[in-house]
Amino acid sequence: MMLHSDNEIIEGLKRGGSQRQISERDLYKAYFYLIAHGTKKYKISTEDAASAYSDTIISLIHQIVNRKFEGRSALKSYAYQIFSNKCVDLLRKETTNKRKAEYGIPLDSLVYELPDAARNAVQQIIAKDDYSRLTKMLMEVGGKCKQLLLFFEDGYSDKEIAGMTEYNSAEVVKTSRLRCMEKLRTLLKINKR
Amino acid sequence: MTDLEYIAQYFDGELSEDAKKAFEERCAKDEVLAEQVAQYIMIKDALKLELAQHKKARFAQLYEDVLAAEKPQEKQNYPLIRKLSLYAAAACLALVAAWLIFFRSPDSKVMARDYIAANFNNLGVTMGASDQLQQGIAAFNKKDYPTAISIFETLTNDNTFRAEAVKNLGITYLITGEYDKAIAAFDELSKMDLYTNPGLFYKSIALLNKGDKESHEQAKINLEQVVSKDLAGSKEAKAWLDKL
Repeated sequence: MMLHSDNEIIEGLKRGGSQRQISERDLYKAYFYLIAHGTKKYKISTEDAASAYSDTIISLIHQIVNRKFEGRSALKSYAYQIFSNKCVDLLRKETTNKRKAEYGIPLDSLVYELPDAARNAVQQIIAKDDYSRLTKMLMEVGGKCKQLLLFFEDGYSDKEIAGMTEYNSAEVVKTSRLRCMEKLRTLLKINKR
Repeated sequence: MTDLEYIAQYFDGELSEDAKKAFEERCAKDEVLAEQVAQYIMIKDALKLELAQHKKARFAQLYEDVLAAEKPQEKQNYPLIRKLSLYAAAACLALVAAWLIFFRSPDSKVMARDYIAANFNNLGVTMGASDQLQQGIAAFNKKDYPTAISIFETLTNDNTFRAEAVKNLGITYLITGEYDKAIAAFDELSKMDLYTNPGLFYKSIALLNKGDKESHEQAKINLEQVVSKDLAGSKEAKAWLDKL
């Protein structure tokens, strides 16, 4: 299996477009051996180790694309650290579930970016709602909207999305994207329990 | 500026320090804004979850591919087979060395075929793509190429998915050995205004596979363009040009 250097992978991910898809695949293959390592060290099933590894790669991609990975450590060490944490999280599943059940909010939610007072106000509103209905609404919003929103969520810029989806310009993408968010918000309001 | 833009700017880190502080204070006191922020966060969290599921599905497929590729190597762990393999490898190396010394003439067709085998075995799941496009990809991955072709052809009329459909159509023709059709599809792809466009590089692969002298020359010209314009595939193109 041909392995790619850290730099090649990082640059490929930052470059975006179809190159990013290739680099995501290369990144996945690069530290594949961690799955076997996880099963031995943490005594978890291969399935769980593979799932922790997928989560690790998703997290790495997110951090590299959003320029949060500063390259202070080698990509390999960084991947190993995240993977170890994910495996430990799996072993402490009960505690994690407890926190999830308590707030009903994903652990990596944007709500945790707000300062205390604002977070409390927003958190109380979210706690009264149900996340699962949003999955259904994502289906209702339509294929094009969903694609736009997912590309943006994946860290692609409006300019990149314009190129990949044949919208005329980054401005058109931005307008359409905000319109799609508005559409989802309306659906959320209409379907409020 | 709409409320939605205002909220998006806060979370995208586009507000000044003062504006950020004002937003946070308003959010703690203004119920209407707090509700809008809650909705925004819920939508973003749901999208994040959906995205993770898409990626996990893609990685699950990749997991199977990597395992399948590693399996034959595991068998070589038996001592006798391992020993014999070493002898065989040594003999192969000698043959390859002799071939390189006396008959050095790399087969571009083999090079292109190796690339196809390594990269087009499976098509990746495309995020947020239409069900139809996903069906086409699924048909391709199941090696049901006639169905895949039919779906991708239909989708070439859809403006949103046209680029992806044309690319996949070209790849499918490449796999089925219909090189002229693959060349036409990649030619069409190469003319699209995309952020990164592998069209010209893929067209070169199809031309190299076609194998005649004229196509070979055309592939070389295309690969040179891929390198000079730093298009998608330029790294491979550069390496190939050294050998062509």
